[in-house]
Amino acid sequence: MNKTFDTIAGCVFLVVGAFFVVGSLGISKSSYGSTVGPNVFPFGLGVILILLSLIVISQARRSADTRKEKGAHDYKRFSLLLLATIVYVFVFESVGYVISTFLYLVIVFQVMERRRLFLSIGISAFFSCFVYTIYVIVFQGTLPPFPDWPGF
Amino acid sequence: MDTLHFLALGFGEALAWHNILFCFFGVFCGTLVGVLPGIGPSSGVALLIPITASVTGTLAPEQGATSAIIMLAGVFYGAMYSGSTTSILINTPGESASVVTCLDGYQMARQGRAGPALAIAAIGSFVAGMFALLMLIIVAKPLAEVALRFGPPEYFSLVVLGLAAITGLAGKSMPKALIMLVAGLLISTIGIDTVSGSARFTFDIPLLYQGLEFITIAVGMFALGEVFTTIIKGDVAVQEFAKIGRIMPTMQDLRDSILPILRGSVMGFFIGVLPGAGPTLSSFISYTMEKRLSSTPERFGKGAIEGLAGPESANNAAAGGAMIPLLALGIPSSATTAVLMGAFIMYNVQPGPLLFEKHPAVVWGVIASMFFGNVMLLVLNLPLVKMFAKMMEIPAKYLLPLILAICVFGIYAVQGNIFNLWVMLAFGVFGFLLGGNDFPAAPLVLGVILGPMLENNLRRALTGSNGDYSIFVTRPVSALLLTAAVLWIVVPLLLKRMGRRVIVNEDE
Repeated sequence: MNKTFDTIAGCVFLVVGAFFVVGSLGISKSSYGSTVGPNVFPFGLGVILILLSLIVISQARRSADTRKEKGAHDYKRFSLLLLATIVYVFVFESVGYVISTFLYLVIVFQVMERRRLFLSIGISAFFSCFVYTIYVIVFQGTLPPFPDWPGF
Repeated sequence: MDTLHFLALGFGEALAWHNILFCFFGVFCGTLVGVLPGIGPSSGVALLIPITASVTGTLAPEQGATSAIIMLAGVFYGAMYSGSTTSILINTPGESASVVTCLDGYQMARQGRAGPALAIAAIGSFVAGMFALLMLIIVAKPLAEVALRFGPPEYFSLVVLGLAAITGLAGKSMPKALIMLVAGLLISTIGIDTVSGSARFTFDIPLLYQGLEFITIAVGMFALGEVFTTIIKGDVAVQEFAKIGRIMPTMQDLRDSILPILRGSVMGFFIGVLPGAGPTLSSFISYTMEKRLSSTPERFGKGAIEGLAGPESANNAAAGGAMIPLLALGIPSSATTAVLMGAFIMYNVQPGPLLFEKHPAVVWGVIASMFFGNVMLLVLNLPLVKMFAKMMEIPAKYLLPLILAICVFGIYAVQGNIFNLWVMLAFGVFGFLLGGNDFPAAPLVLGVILGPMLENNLRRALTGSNGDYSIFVTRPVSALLLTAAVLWIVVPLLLKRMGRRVIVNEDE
């Protein structure tokens, strides 16, 4: 058990519980045709969440930190991947599905293993074009189109 | 006769060519999900929901629902079939229900008996699947009819029982599992309240009026979370695996497996029906049972075919059994069935007692399709097992990024906005951080799905009793269900305190 993490997570859930309790005080108390208003359920759950958070925090504080070093965790690769995904979502609509997905996949494949650039490019190009063709052209679905830059 | 009539209707539905296609695609994807590392049945089903939604978009709503559920159910039981393949060949379970299959399956493979091991697993899965299906046909409708007599208080207590059961077995720490559950229930209250019309926790942001969508959260917590976990653990090396060789088992193998298969089927089915238990637990229990019944228990763990046949049958029977509470009561008994339930709701088909009355074509169509699905799976897992074994060689470095790209595509395709992609990403990171510290993802997703049902029945019951909370304990059936719910939470805690090892269900 990771003591620090549990304590922090417990505190976060405590705040979430408090937020729902406070928030539900602002909701109108009763509604037509029902004696129980929309505030009751979230209020009660918020209180339960606070109590549970207190249990988790106290358990974490009492327990010994038994966390072991579980070998090298690949935080660098994970952070790069997460960053790439955030950028991907950020530019998803403005750059369009095909281009953003192609670039995202090439970058992420290379993050996973910096070899075989051409294979990465090939798979990425195939995937992005394949999904777009099938979904947008065959099934008439909506995905962000190519941007209106000159030349397109 | 009534049931036969409906079953005929179901076969009519399931035999439509597009439904056979959907069924095949579903079990095919399920087989892939079972074989590929880094993606389990719940994330597999969650990932395919958006894709099914777009493919069935052109059908009439009821037909679309039938086809979609046929396919998604196929993914579920398909994954149960083929999860054993990786257990046997590379000692890595494809999903948690196949953990025990590693024990004897991999040993058989090392002794050069990989082929017969795969064959027995497939045959056992088939027998168990068919048995569970027959039981489903016999039991589901009568059960639904009993549940029809439930009023709101009983229903509320039933949902509480379902939630308690899954949460009680969901992880190493009960308070953590409960926290996740309550958080999920709270998330379900975000949005416009359907009864009063008042906006709750929306901060006047129009995007939040509909609430957070279950599918966004499920894909984030299950699929993204799993990919992140796999990447950070660095589990991306390609493993060497055993040669399959000849597939057909010998007569001796068959003779040794027949009883374990039958026992596993019956036991697995009943465990599957219980909420919270599910395939993983049933395979563990079956293994223990076979070992205890065996005259040569010392062979277990060294390639005993009984230790493979029993659990493999049990987990498939349990997968079938799990469909019963889902269809008849509207209570999912595992993470994967919870995701399936979310899919039903997305199509405006509410699982539960009314399902058999309101949407007979959907429910019987799905049930009938499971016959074809089982046969297809037998074919996919016996003659074609070598082809799927090849799939294991797909390097994770290509597979994992593609799963991420499919998550993004899927959520954007069904939701049509960037906001949901951010929500998905946020839940992916939460799921990964929390999951790595024993906060299980399944109860949260379950809470999101069952929250509205719990709240509506609570409010209806209290309206009926003029706000008197004692209605839940004075009505006998409701009191019984609540007692069972409390026991489900308290008994494992007591066992733990007594120093007993409690099996937990990490069905992700």
